[in-house]
Amino acid sequence: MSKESEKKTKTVTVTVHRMSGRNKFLLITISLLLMAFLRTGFLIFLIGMLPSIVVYFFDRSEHHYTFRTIFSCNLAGCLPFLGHMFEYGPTNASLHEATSSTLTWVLMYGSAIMGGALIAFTPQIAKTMITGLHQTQIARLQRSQARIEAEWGKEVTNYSAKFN
Amino acid sequence: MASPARMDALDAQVLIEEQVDTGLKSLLEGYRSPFGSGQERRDELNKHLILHAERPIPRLSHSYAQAYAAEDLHNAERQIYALVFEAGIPYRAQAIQELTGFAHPNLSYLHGAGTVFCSHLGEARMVAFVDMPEGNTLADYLNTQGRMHPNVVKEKLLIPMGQALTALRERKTCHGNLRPEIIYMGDTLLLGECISAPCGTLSHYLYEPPERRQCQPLARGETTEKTDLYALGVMVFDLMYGLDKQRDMGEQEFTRLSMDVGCYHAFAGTREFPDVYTDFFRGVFNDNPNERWGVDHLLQWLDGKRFNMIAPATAKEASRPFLFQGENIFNRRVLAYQFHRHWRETVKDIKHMKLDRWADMSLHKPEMAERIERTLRIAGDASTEKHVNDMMSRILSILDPCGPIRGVNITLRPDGIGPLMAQLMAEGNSELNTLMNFIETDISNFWSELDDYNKAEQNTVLWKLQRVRTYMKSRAFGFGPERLLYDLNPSLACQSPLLKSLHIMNPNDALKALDGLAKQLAPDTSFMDRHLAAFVASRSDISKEIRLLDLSTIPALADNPELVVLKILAKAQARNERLVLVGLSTWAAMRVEKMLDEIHNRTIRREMKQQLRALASTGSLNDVLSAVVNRDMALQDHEGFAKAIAIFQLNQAKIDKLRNPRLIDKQASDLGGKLASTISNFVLLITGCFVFGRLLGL
Repeated sequence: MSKESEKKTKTVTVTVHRMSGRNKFLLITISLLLMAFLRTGFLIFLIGMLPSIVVYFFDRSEHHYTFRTIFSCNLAGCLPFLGHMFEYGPTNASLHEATSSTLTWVLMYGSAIMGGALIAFTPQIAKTMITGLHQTQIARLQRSQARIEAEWGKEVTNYSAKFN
Repeated sequence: MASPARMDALDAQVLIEEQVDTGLKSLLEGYRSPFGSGQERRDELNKHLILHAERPIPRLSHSYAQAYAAEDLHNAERQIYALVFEAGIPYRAQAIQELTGFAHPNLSYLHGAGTVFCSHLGEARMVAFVDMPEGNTLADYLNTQGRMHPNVVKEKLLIPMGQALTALRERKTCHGNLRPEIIYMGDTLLLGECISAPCGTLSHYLYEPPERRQCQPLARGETTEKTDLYALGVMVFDLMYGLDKQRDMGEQEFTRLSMDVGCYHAFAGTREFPDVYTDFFRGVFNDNPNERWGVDHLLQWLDGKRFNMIAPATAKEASRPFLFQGENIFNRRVLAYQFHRHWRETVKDIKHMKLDRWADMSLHKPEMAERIERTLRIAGDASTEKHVNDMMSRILSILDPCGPIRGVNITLRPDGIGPLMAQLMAEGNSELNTLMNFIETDISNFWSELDDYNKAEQNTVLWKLQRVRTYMKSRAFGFGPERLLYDLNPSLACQSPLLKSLHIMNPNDALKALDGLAKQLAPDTSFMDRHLAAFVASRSDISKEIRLLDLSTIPALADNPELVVLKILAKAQARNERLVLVGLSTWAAMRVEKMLDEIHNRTIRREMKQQLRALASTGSLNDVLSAVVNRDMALQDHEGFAKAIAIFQLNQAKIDKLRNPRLIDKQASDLGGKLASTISNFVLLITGCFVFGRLLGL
């Protein structure tokens, strides 16, 4: 088949992230339980978890590390609010007390921001680590190449270049 | 591939030293060849025959040998002279062997012959020491006194010549260049030397029978006693009647006449010979070489026997003439002669001449007609000049089977192919290709099968030609045209530029000479010499191409022609186990050292180089070659190199991968994501534990 016809028949595949049935079941069950327990508080919880919900739809990566990180951090930030709700019950007074506190919102969104910061900086740290590791491996391989070249001469390089 | 331990050892020396001191140079510097350079004994043979190169003798010199004064230290009073043979032309080895030391009152005494380093030429040559002839030559007599009475001819010339030719026959040889200039009319008739020139090269054309006359001088081949008798007959005729008429005719006209009317009539014309001489002339001038007189006939005739020979009929063979170039030709030999003279014109029309019909209807030779028809048919519409010329040569041989083999510019007899080839090769003449075509198309065999005229003596050379035909197409060292040259000329010295000046005649001498030259020529001079290889292969009777199968895994070495030549030399040396050649072996080792660079593994290479000196010290070429012609080594090197390439490529691929920025970014992204995910999960876990603990009141 010619290259042109190949181009024409080429289809662009877009990976659409779909939640598995089990996760969907878990999410619905937990949501129903939280809705039953928190009542109006569940709405506040959803607003608190808004960064994670947004990231969920935007993170198209294979392993969804961004979503996972931000979700974990975001949830960690929402946990004190949930703890307060569990401790004092979903009454209007406790709901008002929790939502009127700036600290609650700072914790919920701040933790999400921290998650974002974490996902932004850790690859840089990882890159530094990987580069160092690679350099060590390259040095070892280069020593091996030098040994081969010393024993078999430059011809080895020429042949290798030819075959490559 | 090297073992891990070896690899570790190599760690210490990143680059293995390429320059290894083999010690070969010092070995060669300290070596003195026991065989010398071939120049130690100058201008002398057998320590008592001395050549005086400063005193040339032009009257005894000719195209193939220069004569010089000489001296025999064992007998200073004896007058001798030396003949220095021309280089590059085969000489009459058998005649020299048979006649050395043979004394006969009517033959020049040959004191000795052999290779002598001639100081005036600066090179070695074949030199023969012969008794100085006394008296005037027959040629002088003919020039000064003219005719001789028939009775005196018999007494003064025929009887002593009969004795001389009988003696030559007893020594299994013949003269080959019988002419008035070589017969000395002293107190006793003396026949001059016959060893310094190939047969038929010095005679005037009148002294050659028609079947030899048309050939190139060097291509006339060996003679028989019948040829000598023919020449003797011409001399007798000259003495009695003179040859002025025949000389005035010129070669072509005389040849044509002798074909038209026969040799006898070409000389005799309308002349009546004395009764006693009629038999003699009819016998020696017989056109049929088989019926021509030999020495036995001469001796019987001299004893008084009468043969009552019938005068040969004029050769008018055909009942109807063949019209060619406006001339009516009745004789097929004349027709062949005319075809040859007008080769180009004949080639154009040969297929339309109805030659086969003429042979059948007019010559009444249906067999000949069939052969002609078959030859024309086989050639078919042959378009190449080579095929057309081959067809022409065959047709001329069919028409004149007694005559020579004729080509466009070459006419020869099969046993003349060797000497002619030597001449053409030395001159670099393009006719060499024509000669090679003769051999390739096997026309000699075709010629020999046509008739039995004078061809029994060609059997040996025909067998040789059959044998060398298989060698000629090979381009391998030791074969090809050069091999043909030496196989067809057993007495030809080696024409290699390295050895030509030393006049080498056998492989042992060649090896000794190379040993002597080693100091001078090593290490830069290559052994890649077709003449050297062919000469040694021919004289050592090596009939199979040398193939270095042990080195098949290293093509650069397996196909190395220099290594092939060294192998040929080694084979020649192996035939003489006592021949220790340290100089040549060292030279060979120096050349092998360069070849070892084809071996990839530096360690193997270094080890091999280090053992060359010890191998060269044994003086055996085979030992030196064993260092490189080694199957295990070749295999180890080949396989190791393949593995090394594979590992090198793999490592290179890994390095490239490790340096790939996109890959690094991806890995960093993945690892970073994992790390961030893990940390966030950890934070969640702690927060969860903290909140859960507070709920539980912990």
